[in-house]
Amino acid sequence: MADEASAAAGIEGSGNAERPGLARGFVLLAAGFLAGTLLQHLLELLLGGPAAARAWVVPGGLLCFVLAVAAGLHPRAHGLLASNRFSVPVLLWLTALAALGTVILQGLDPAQVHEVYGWAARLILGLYLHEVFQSLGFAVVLGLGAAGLALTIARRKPLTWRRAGAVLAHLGILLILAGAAAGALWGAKGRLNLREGQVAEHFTVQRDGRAQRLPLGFQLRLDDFRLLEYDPQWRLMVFAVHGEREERLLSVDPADPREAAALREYGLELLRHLPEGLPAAAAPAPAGPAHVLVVGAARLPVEPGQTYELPEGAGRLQVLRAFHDFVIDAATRQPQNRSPRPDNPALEVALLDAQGREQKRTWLFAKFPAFQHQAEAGAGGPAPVSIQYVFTPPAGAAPAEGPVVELRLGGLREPTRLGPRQPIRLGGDRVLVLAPRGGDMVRDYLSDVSVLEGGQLRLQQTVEVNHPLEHGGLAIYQSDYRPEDLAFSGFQVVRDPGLPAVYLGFGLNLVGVLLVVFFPRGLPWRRRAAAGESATGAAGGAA
Amino acid sequence: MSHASVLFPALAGGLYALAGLAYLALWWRASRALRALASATFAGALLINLLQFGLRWAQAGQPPFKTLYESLIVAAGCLALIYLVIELVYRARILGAPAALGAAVIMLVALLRADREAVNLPPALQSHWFIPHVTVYFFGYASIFLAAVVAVVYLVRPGPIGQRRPDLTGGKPIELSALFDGAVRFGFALLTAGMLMGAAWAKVAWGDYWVWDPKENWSLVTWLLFCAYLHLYYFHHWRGRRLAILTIAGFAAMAFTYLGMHLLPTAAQSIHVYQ
Repeated sequence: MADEASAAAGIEGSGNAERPGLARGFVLLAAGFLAGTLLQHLLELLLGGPAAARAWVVPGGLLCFVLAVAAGLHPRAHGLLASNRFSVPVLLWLTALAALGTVILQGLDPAQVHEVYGWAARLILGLYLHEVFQSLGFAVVLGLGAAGLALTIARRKPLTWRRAGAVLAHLGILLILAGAAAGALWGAKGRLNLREGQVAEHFTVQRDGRAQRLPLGFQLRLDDFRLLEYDPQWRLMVFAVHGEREERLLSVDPADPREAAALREYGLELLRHLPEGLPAAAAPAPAGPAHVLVVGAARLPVEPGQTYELPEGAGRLQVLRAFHDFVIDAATRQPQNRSPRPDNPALEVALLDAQGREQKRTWLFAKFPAFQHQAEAGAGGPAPVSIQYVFTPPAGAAPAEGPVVELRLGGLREPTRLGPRQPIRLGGDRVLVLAPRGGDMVRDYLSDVSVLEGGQLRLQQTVEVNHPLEHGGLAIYQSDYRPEDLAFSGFQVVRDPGLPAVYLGFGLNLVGVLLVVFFPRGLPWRRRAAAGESATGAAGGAA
Repeated sequence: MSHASVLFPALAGGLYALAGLAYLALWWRASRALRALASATFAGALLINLLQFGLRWAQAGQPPFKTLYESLIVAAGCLALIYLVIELVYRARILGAPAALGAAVIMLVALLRADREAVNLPPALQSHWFIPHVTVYFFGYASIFLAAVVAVVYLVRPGPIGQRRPDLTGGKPIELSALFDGAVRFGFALLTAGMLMGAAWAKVAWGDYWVWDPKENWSLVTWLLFCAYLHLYYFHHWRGRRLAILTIAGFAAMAFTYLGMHLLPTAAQSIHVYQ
């Protein structure tokens, strides 16, 4: 039955006799991998560095393929390489290497490998497992596998409809590998950076660790660069911050009262949502002084530089400094205002004892109520009392851009106004922020380019991700941009002579696999025709 | 979006679970009413599942394949659709319980573990390859899942099934080994198509059809394991138990490809890890 099934798929098998071949196949591939690895070390020594040796990886794999095919002309080598017994070891070796390349960090330099892997670093570096897919050992395994495929296909004669699936699937893989090798050997991949109005005739490739300029064969001009962004769909989000990791606990649409009701679970109540923000003209005039401290049940208007007696016998407090948009300057480590907008009001206060001696100095933040508790008054004196700092923007102050929400935070009487991207610490590890829906805010980035030849305009096209420009044997891909310089556009330029073979390989492989899977006994109409012929023949014979 | 994103999966998951229990009960008791209940609840669950998918697409304004939550909704739908076709074409209900209970568990995971927030599609995902690539892969995943379930049952109870219960198997006994073998082959064809589509798409988007990204590598590992399955079947005449174990190993690789990428040290180098 097994042989029938194999025959049905148009594939020859030779039963138990092939089992010892599995071990020989594994050993041959292991030897090939180690030989390739040793050769790469030797090349590094002879050619003076890893970059130069890496340039020999694809030619090395190709050479291995040619030698293995030539060796396959000898009956004994042919018996191993051109047999199906070799396929399973190849598949499992590739499986192991592909998995290893995901478990071991790729592309690290040797010092980083030592730092990350300690005692195992020597083994990893020795076997090139830190760049396994660019190693000669891997190329040799691929070369041997491809040679086995080529010899097996060549052996499989005559080509019948029943065998077409297996042959096409394997031929497809061979074409993909051949196309990839051709692209690596005779192709080029480089970069091209342009600013609006700039014209380029060359692109830059990295070869053997050195930059090299190659001609485009035409002139490419960047006419315009455009960055398109999604409309921000603002959401009120609660995060739990664990070290550097953030976990989103809640995300609601502030315009949807039903969704916003879920905020209560976190002690929040949404009072107002102003999707268009708070224009300066419409902003309510300040009802009172800018800085107010709410101490217990009392409201205490304060000014920087003044000292105040706290109510309820909670001691004295001196207001030292005020900032309407507090930030610590990275260079000076001193507080300063980040913008003219009252985005992060803060007061520096000193808590004094009855003799006027400073007991504690701290910052109060209007938008970070959790920090209020740090300013518990009366340390070492009367009973501590919580202080809340409320800031009222002066008339004409620049409002935050984007929507604004007003919320009542748990435990606070005064409503808090929240603009876009201004996180508020709720206490513990919880943070509340009004932020756009997740994911990339960049919807697309596009470059309008012109192709010029001899000063004449030949072509105008918009290049964007998924829509490269193809001209003169080159494909030019929109690669990157600089958010701080929107007149700049970065392109990747690729010349890939192996691409037609790869695409043909894709097609053949897919058709072959579909034939093997869905028509293992050949195409139905061919089977019917064959059955009809044999019936006619049998009838004729009987007659 | 928030209410629908909880309500629909909860409803669909509940109905899938009910259908799964009804399909399980069919193993003990042949009953026309039970058959009707199982099929009807399963179809109802699938309908809600598809409705949720369509609603999400309309509300998010983009194909809902980007987040883990969205992909789980798609995975449950693909599993249910594949099973429904099997039931309609072959009148066989033996895969009903694993398909329905599998879809229920997927819905539960979507509800409890996944972030339901829709996220914007980056430019690279705005491609006509996006929908076929993901859809084909998820039907492949669903097929391999069913194959693995059958392989597990085969390991416990090898041999033909449904000799005394033709109503479960469409009228004639079914060899479980043939059943998981068929599902593996169908899944393998879809995984091949999905991988080739992904490679063609990557070439158009970035200029490289293969960049050895961890998820690419693990989809290659899965594909190579099932290639090995076919070669061992044809050339080394593996059958039954050994192929069942290989099927389960292939499913494990596939499940890791889908859900395990964030566990890899190279996850940060991947553009495929779910948010």
